Amino acid sequence: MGDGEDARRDGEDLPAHPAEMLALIRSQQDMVRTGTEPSGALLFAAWGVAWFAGYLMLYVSGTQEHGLPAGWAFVVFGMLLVSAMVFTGVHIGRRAVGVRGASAAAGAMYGWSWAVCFAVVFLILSGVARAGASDEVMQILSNSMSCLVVAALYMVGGALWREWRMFALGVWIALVGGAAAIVGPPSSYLLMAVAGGGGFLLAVVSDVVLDRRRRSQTSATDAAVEVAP
Amino acid sequence: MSEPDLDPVIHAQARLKVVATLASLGAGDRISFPRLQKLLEMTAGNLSTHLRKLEEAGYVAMEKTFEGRSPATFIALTPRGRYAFESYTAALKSLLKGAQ
Repeated sequence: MGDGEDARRDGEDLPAHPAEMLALIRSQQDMVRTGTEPSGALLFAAWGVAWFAGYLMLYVSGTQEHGLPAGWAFVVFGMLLVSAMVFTGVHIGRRAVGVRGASAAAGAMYGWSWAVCFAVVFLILSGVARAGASDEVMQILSNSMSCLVVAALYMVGGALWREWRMFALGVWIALVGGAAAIVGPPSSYLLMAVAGGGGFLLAVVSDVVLDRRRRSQTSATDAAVEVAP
Repeated sequence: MSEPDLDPVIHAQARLKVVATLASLGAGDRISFPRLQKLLEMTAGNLSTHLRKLEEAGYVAMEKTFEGRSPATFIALTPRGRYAFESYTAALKSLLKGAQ
């Protein structure tokens, strides 16, 4: 069998209409993108729930006693953050498995930025505590420095992957973190839960709505194309 | 539809899917053989055959390497392959315009 004959036979398994072939390409590419790229909606949801529940608990516990949340509230808050972190790592790891090259290198550098920045936040807090910072100073500083790191890295992430929603979320978290520092504990925790956690959850909603709109638009063009000829 | 306008290397369902999959990864990215196989839901033998044809045309580059101690193959679309895929979809779109 010659090559030309082979190619002709191969081509026969394709849909006859160019619109159907374009739809085939698009559905394959959509499937690959959802399979290999992390889902912003899932990650924002994990962090939104962790922030909302965790900070709300700090607030409730902080208003009951004298402005300082109980130890157990900090433990639960820490566990919620660790769960969200593990979920993020596992999710990104599963989506990125088997893919190497430029985007994997960028992703690894970005991941290490988080680890390095939070390690330094921890060192600074240890130093400030040793220098005799009060509980209130520690609460304000730990929260606002963490917010600053999260905000800056979200903005960088938005620039890196051209995700304007991630960038906007970074700007929002910076503002909320700054406002929380001015308000001070325990009210700052309520602000963090509602505006911070709520910001993540709002990003989830916009992600889902935009995705649904995009899908209905492409299927509408497909339908229009099939009717036209 | 006039078939001669369409690149015969890509003009087969399996190879069109392979090229479309590789094209949706970022430029400069490569993917392992098992992951590609999973994304395409093809048998290993079938995928190898199509990859060989695409490699002969200069559309994909195969890199044999090691992951720890086990050998692994990574596949990437070459700039030529990306150009061929873009020309192919552009040809489809112009056929579509002609049909309307």
